Amino acid sequence: MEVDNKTIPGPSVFSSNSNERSFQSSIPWIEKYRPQTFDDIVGNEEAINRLKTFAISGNAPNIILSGPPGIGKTTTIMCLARTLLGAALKEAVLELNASNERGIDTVRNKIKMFAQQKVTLPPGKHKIIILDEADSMTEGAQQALRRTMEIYSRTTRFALACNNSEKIIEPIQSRCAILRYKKLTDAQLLAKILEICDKEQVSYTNDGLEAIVFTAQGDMRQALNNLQSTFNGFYHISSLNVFKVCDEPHPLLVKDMLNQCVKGDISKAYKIMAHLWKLGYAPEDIIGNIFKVAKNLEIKEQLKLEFVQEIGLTHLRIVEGVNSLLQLSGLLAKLCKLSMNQEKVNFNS
Amino acid sequence: MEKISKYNSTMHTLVSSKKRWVTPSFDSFTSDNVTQVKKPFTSRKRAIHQTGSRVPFISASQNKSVTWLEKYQPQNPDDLVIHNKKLKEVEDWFKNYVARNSCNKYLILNGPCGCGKTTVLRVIAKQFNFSIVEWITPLDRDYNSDLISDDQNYQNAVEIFDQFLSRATRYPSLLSTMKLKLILVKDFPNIFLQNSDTLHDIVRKFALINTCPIVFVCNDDIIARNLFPETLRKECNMQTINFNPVHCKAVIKAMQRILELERTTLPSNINLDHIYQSSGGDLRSAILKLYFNIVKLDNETEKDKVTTTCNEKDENVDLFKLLGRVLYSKRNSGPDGYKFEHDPNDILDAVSIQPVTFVGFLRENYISRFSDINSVSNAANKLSYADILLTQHNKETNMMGVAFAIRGLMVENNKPAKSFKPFVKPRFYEEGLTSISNDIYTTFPEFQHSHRDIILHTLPLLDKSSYVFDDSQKKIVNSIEGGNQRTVIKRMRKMESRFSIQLDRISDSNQPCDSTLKGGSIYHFGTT
Repeated sequence: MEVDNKTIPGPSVFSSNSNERSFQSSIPWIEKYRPQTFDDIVGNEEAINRLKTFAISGNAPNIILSGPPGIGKTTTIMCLARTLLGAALKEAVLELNASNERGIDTVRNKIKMFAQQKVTLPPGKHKIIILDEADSMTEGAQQALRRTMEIYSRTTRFALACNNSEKIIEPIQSRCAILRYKKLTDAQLLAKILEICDKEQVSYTNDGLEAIVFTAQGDMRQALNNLQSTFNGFYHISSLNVFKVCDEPHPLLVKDMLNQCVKGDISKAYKIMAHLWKLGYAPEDIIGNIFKVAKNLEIKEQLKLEFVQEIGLTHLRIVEGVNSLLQLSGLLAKLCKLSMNQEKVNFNS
Repeated sequence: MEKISKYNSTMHTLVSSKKRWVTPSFDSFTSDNVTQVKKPFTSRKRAIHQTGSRVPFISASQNKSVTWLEKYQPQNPDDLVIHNKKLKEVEDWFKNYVARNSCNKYLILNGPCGCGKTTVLRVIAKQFNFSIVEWITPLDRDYNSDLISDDQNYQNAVEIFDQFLSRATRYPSLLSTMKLKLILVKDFPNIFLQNSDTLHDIVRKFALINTCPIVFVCNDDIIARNLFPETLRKECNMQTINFNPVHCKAVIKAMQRILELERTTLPSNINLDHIYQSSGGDLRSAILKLYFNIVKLDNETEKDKVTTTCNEKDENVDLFKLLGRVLYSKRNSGPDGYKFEHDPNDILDAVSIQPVTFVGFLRENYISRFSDINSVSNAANKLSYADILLTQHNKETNMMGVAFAIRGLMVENNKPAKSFKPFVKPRFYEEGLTSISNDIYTTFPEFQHSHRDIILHTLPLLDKSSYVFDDSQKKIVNSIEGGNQRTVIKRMRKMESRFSIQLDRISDSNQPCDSTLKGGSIYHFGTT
């Protein structure tokens, strides 16, 4: 399984022989490898191609990008701003995210002030106001924004990024072109991770990369952060190290446990659960991983449905506060019973 | 335009020399000076600079930066897309006003986004020779800011608004060529949204002394109701004109007009119908979408043009595809049981709307896609479990809820109905109900369920003779049942009767499906 470039010693990257090196290593990879041009952005090709057109032709409409975290919304907007404005980027872009104060005052004052500022730009180019995590803005602030959008539309365009476009009020949605970003596929994630592993000379095993992709669940930021923390901690990406760093129950163990349940062997299944419990994982993490694994388990759809139901209800109880080992063991017992019933049905038919 | 700005700057100088600040009372609003800049609190020198720089600001070289919305703004009544009747209503109001001059001074235009409220007003006002003065909420002044040295300069937002109205209505513009004037208020100061009483006082005051018409434009029912309650409307003789979403044909016609004027043709893969549907009768959004999809680089050829399908307003098309995949699930039988053609996990990943909304869609549509009452019962059972998972405000359990609802319906629906019926929106998202849901807890503090349940299952069934409502509660109950023929309760009864017939037909149906039919949220599972 080991891939050939493991011969490159990991720690050498961190040896502080040259100052530049040590400085480089202190930048999070997620920033270091943040795409600078549209071509580097992974996934959502259609939307990005369209924005690329606007970046060159200018006169882009107001846009809203919505989608789950870690799929390149902010990166896309920054690329758009960079391509559109070039050298004027610093003075012609106002970026506000949820950590900035963003009440009505800010919208009224900061944003309006910026919109009123005169910046010399070539025709067709506009100042850009970037509102990251726009769904966390209060409704009042959004209301205040909507007229501003129209009044200054000749000089200023807005780019909003949000996780959930339903939290953006209707009048703003009506004034913007909405682009919905989809989760990245595992293959897209893997390709990017491989590329970075090459550049950073990271030694890895295939199951390690698989583990990174599994823990990330379509979130590029998470993937790169996990990759870097594993690398910083162990200098080698193997599935064992990844799950140590990300502190999640190993999915292979969980899978094994569920397969024991399918066979109806409660004692073997319980042994694994007790082991996980002893390792000190939080019940929320255990049940979360059980769900993730059960979703992709190779069993009959009917049985899978029943499994998912029990897992969901157990999760609910854990969330409500009953996070004892008893609940998790009870889940295993129920799953065993379900698969035994299923077998009985099969036998009868 | 130049004249106005000069005039403005003179006014600024005049006023500031007297050490008192005038708020943007003389903001005149015509179709070509939208970029007006208002700075009520800067120093005198700064203010002149600002207004002075305004002229090159909107130079002709900026032509390229004009969006289609401005470029193709209707200039005469023939270009308008709204229904003739509505147009006539607005015209009648103007005629009445001109004829009797002082009778009804207030007009409220209410309607969804992008249906042309302001545009209609502007066009008609021009026709009747009215100039429009628009209120734009000025920048807030920080009470402690260095810019304000003495406290007497400080004014609160209500005062500023009040002064704006009194100045703008009383004094004619010196340089305007139009005889008549109307005030447009669209950008309500935030204080009114929180505390509408202050606005009511102002409205009452100006009903007595005002000399020129004031038009309020709202696009949210709940805000409109709040700002202008029925009693106030009657008291001050305010006329309300409600606008509807723009009709399909009108939207398409407008888009075609733009295409003609732009001298471009539609790429083969974009359909105007499709754009209309995704915009839901919002012309502004439709034009933006058209623009977004059609603009291309000069050297770009049709061949390498990639169009996006993901800029729908609420993703109707993709959503319905997903619903179809769930409700008309196809199975491929394999050696080890069947497999679904579309993996439930992939469907789950593709869901881009809120979990509760998606399950709402499933719940609204699943019954007619089933061909067997036993499966319906099982599916209702599964949905009710999903509902339990969705009650917690926890992202993970919510995801599980959707996953379970999708998988449950796909598994239980072993013989999907053959005929295809169009999908409908969940009742809960019908017009009006969503807006009520926000303040349902404050109005009905005694109910502890989710607001969806209160609206759909509790309120319609309350015994009106024994339960005493106060005014705000009455309003909500009425809006849940009122007006529309398809009230929630009627539909529920209809659904129940339809099912009792089906249940009679099937003799051995002892499945507990009656309780789930009322919407599928049962709570006694919660403690299993």
